[in-house]
Amino acid sequence: MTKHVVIVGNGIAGSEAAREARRVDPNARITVLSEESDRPFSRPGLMYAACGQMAPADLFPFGDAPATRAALTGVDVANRRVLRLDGDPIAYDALVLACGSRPRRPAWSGIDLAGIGHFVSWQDLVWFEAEVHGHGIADAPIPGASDSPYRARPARQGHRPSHPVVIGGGLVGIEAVEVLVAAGLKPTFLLRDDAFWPIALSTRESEVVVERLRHDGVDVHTRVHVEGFAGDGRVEQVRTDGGDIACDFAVVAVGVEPHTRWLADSGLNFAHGGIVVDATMSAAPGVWAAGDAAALPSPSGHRPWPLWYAARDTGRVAGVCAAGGLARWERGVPTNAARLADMDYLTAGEMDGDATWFDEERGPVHSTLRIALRNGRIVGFTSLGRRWHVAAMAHMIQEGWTLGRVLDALPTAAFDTEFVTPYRPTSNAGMRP
Amino acid sequence: MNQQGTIGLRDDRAGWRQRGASAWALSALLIGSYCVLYWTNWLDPVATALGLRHKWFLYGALYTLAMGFGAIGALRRHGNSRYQRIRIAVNVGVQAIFGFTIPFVLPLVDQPEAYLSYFWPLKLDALFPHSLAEMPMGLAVWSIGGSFILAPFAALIWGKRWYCSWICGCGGLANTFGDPWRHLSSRSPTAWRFEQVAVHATLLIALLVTALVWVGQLQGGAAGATGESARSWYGFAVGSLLSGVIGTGLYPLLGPRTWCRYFCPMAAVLGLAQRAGRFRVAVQPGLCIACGNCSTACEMGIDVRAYAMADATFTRASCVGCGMCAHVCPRGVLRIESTTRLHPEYARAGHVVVDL
Repeated sequence: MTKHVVIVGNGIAGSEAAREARRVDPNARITVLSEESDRPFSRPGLMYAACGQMAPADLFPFGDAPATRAALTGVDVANRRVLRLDGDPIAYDALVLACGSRPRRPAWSGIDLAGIGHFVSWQDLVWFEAEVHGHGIADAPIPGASDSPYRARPARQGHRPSHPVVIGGGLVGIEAVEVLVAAGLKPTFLLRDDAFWPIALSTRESEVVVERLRHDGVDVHTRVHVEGFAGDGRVEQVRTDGGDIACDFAVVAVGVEPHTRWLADSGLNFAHGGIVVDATMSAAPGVWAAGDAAALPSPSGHRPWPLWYAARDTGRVAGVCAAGGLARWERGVPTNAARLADMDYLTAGEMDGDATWFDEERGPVHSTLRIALRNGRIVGFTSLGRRWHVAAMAHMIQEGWTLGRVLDALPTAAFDTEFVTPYRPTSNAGMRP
Repeated sequence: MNQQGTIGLRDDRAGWRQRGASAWALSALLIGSYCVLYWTNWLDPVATALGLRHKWFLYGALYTLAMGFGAIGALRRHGNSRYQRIRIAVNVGVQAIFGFTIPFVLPLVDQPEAYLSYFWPLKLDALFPHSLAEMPMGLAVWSIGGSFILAPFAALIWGKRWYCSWICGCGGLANTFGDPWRHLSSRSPTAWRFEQVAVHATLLIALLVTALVWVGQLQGGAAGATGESARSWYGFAVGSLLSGVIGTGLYPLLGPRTWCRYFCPMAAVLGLAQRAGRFRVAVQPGLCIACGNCSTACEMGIDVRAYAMADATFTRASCVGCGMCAHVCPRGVLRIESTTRLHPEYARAGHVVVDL
């Protein structure tokens, strides 16, 4: 009998799960359910479509892999059925929950005013584009729960925002800021902390990024606590502890949380909102979970790890296991890459060492390099403004190289574009308290 | 300042860049201009009045100006990359010096017009017996040596980019004046298959025409007439129609590399050398986020993202090495390179996929 593998979600975790399930079991019947989109799109590419650098049609890395559009209301684990808002339940033999994250939505007054939204889902892109440019892209919304992150939202047409505000100093926030700058606007960027993205960047690294943003005309405010919004139907002001700020368009980007509220009655175990899984991504008999929706095993207990690369890797493991194969997920040396303003950001390992080596170049290339050490051995590496071969960096961390050996090996680990002046430590390079 | 080449975001939605009515109008204007240039003498009086002797130098001057102004735009978009700054400056410089000034000046000092930056089979005349016989010795050696030794061997070492993206006038116009349309090149498998057939078919035709002209010019008589008609037919079909009217005229609709990608016989030769050589688009394993900027930016319609997602460092015969995929990559996944010095971890990951 053919096995019916049902995959909830067609983000990167769900898409990779489907691909692996097909590879492991060529005969399985695989159904991908998505409330968000008919076919898998590249979420990291959303910002490039929003700013017009890519067309929405460029966003489909897996071609035309169709998903069934469905708004789901729960899972009946005992009887192996997925329940949906409209239509009959869907029976499965194996279920992969790869339903991702939803934007965190603080209980601020006035957050439901028109002109306030997020920047995470396809529907957010449609809304954002229409608000910012006064015209949208085609989309066929499906009916969903009123609090669904995938509900279609009306946007003001024909007007461009004059006072756009982005709230939240993380990756989604800076993406929204960059897209607004590309659209020729001068957004206000409200950060709760002293600096931009403090969980990943040092104070100096954060300053470097903020300098770039200010150079582009972004009005960056730090240590601002938002209390709510005011307006008559449409947002007119952001209320903060430092006073009101004019605002006719706001993106709330204060983090994401696992999109698992719809699973509350399923009997699955949760940690920090994520579905608790083991190293095979197994959550319950016949149920696997992957990506942002899962709480992954870690030294400090089960935790969601809302990171694209982790979603891809755990999705693959879940797909293999759900189709009857064997796979285990190992955290390995964590790596991440991003672009902040126009600077490449790359990190590997953990940055919580007992000593830090730091260097900042300000010549033809503006870059920073930070190496975290524990007992004199490298445990983490963070770079802004240059490109490095991340596998070489992970190798040094895994082998616990000394600082001297790492610095000697840096030229061979460079991945800079041809003709870029090679990195050499400056006279300011050295240990930092 | 950042030499790395990370871009500021830009908006490509304007109709003239997205096959809107303005793009069709611009295309019609370009095609019309090429028809006037190739098949009328209307431009000769204009050229004479400007002191440019004949219409071809007027065309050369306009071509060089278009590259120059296009370069200003291209540098505004990509000039934060040192690679792009140097590449575009060299390409425009080669056109201004070797593509216009030297050919214009040489006849003034009683020397034949010589286009030193073009080789066979892009310029078939470079190897015809009569043209070789008329050249000074040094020029004939340059013509033969450039076509058979310099061009293919440089492509083995650096890839075809040394020519297609640094020297060639067609490539230069595509990467400057044509840069706003680079995202229009088709990424469909059908386009790839057509490219494989068409570009090599043009190369075979170029070989055949060269052979016919050689036999004709050495034997004379009926063979001579056949050779002349083959030459004239090739000049019309390939030289005028494919490289000019279609190749450049359709910039706003099909992207700027239509000629280079589907028809240029020189690109076919250099592409074969590139496949056998060291040039590759290096992919850092496990780092691609599938955003698609690289594929969108590829003027040759290569689906770079598919290789990057598969962690496959690759060489494609058609890749002209413009470097834009690496330039737009927001995660530092890609690098075009021909170096042999690699970190062991990197070399280990570097299995190279070589595709035609």
